[in-house]
Amino acid sequence: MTDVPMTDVNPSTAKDPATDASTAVVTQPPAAPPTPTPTLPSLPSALSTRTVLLLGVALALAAVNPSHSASRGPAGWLLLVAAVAAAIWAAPAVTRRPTSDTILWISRLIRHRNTAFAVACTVLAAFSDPAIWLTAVDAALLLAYLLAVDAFAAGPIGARQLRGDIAPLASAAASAIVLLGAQAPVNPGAVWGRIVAALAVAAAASAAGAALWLRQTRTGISERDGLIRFDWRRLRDKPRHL
Amino acid sequence: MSLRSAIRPHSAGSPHDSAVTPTDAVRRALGDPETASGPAEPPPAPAPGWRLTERALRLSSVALTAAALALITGHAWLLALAAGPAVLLALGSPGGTRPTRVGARANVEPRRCFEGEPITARIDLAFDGLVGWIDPGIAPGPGLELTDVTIAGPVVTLVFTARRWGRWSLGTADVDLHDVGGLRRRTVRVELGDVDIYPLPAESGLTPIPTRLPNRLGEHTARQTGDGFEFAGVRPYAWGDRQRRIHWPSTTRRGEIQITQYAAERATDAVVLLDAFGDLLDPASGRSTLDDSVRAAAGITRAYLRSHDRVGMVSVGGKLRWLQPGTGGGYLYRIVETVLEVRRDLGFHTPDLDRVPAPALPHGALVYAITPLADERILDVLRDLAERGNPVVVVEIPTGGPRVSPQDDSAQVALRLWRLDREALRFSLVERGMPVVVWDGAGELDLVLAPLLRTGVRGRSR
Repeated sequence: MTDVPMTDVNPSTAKDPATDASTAVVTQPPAAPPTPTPTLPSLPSALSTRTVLLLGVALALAAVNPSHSASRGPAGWLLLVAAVAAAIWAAPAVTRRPTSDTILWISRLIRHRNTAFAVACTVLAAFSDPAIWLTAVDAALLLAYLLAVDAFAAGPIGARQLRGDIAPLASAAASAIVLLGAQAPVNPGAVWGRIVAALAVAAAASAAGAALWLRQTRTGISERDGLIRFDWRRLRDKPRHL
Repeated sequence: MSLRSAIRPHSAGSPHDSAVTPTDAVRRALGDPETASGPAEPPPAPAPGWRLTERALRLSSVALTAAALALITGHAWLLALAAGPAVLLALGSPGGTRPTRVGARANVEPRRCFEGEPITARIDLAFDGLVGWIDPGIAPGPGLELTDVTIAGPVVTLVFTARRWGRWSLGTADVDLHDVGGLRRRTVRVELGDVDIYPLPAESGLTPIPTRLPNRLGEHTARQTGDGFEFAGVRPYAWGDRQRRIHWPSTTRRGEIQITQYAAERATDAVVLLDAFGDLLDPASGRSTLDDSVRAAAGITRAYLRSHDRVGMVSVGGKLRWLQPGTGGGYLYRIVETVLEVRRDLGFHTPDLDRVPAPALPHGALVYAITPLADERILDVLRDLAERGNPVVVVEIPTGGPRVSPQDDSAQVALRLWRLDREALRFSLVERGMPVVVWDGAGELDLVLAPLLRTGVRGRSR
């Protein structure tokens, strides 16, 4: 029997066993069966690996601005083909378990190709000078792609996020609000205007995050949400391996 | 595991034949497909503490890149690309639910089994707070195949199938605990310990005996007369003979009282000599000579132990190992455990049988030399045994002939010469009084041992 001793991950936040209620309960007698298995959320039936690939290809095409690229001649067409080829290679969700068994850059790029693809699309979109409608398409496709990849690569957390209403709606709403705000006329000569706008967006994001964090900690999360809890209250004795 | 299950016959074909289609969970736990089929090196130690997950890295990279580009290019709409991932990151914040203490305990059952049997490892995780996803990664040891992964609450159950005999490390489990939002993960490493996988004995029930048996009661019919049940002949009556042993047909025919004689029933000593000088793979079938040798040794050992004989073991190659002859059902396990580690220390020095104590190689004991006859040193050992006077039976495990092109005439001639050389080698052993039988590992061992029952195995007299 192999035991891994219990370790305190964050000593600064570790509570005093004498004053911590959960730790005090641990000293009561014998072990009880663990918590019931949470029901893992299933993926929507419409979502498949092919859907992720199609989203990736569409995102790559939107990022390079096809109408603009086509007008550039052969170089533009070459860019389009390269974008589609890169999307076909990098867009499908990497479901392999992440292990740090190599330090080669090429291996790391292969492992993080979904991230590299999303970042590359962002960079391409930034320099492709898209029309207003195309910016909305870029934002929507990028968000959809990130949610779809999460659903496949982040296990039950990603599937749960996609099944729930809060995350897709809140992120889409945030993108839409910022996009609408970005279309507001800004004095071309005012440099401070951009900084103030960026700070405002950051402040809004921080406020939203803080509010959500407070909501999460106050309302609590239970096994009904598919999360796993080691039920200390059912323990009547401290496990020997702790 | 019981002796009853241990002595079940080894069916045709090896345990490697049964392929199991891995599930998605198994494939994910094994990681790279290359590591799933063969023995895996233990992965490097995981980083301590919590670290970013792929999801957090992906969302934060996109958000930061979009925000930075917005500031650099002055396109405010790029902030919309950052807003979505930023909100997802904010929603994934675990708050105060991230565990601060984690622990794990592994319980493996059984630690000893035979090839083909399942081994279950249960990993109990303990943590405070909440965890959103438990993601195990397994590096199974050699000789083992991960066949199932089940996660039920904080319990991870791994099912391995023992594929190859030996004393193996079961492997290492790196269990990733993801926080509620999947933004950070922490890895708990659990060492699963060692397991002993016993070889499946080859099917064998025949027990050839030497011409001279030791003076010990047993189940084999000896040439000497004694108190057994086998009819051995008649002789004239002598004073003191029992009346019930009078052989009336001979008495009436010869006109004087004749007494029935019975053969004595003796036990024998058998010593299995295992050639562990090397492990050769048959290029055609992929079978390992060492695997087949150990299965043959286990089969012979089991057959003699069933006849209540004493069986010993000497393995040459690498470290010289021996176990002096003994009897009893549990002795099979002792003998098998003696050879479990021969694969680990295959060596290159010639063993000296003089180092084997006399009780481990009794005079007159029948020696089964199980060898592929591929190493010159085993011939020295066999010669040494013959000079000691022990009756020796050579059980050859064929290595498979070299593959040559049918169009290559010179290669065909070379192959023929190679086969003739093998025939000459076998003939020289037979000439020295050591019968050679060939067992390819697939059929029944009894079929190749049956010719030895016609007459006792003769040893070379000193």
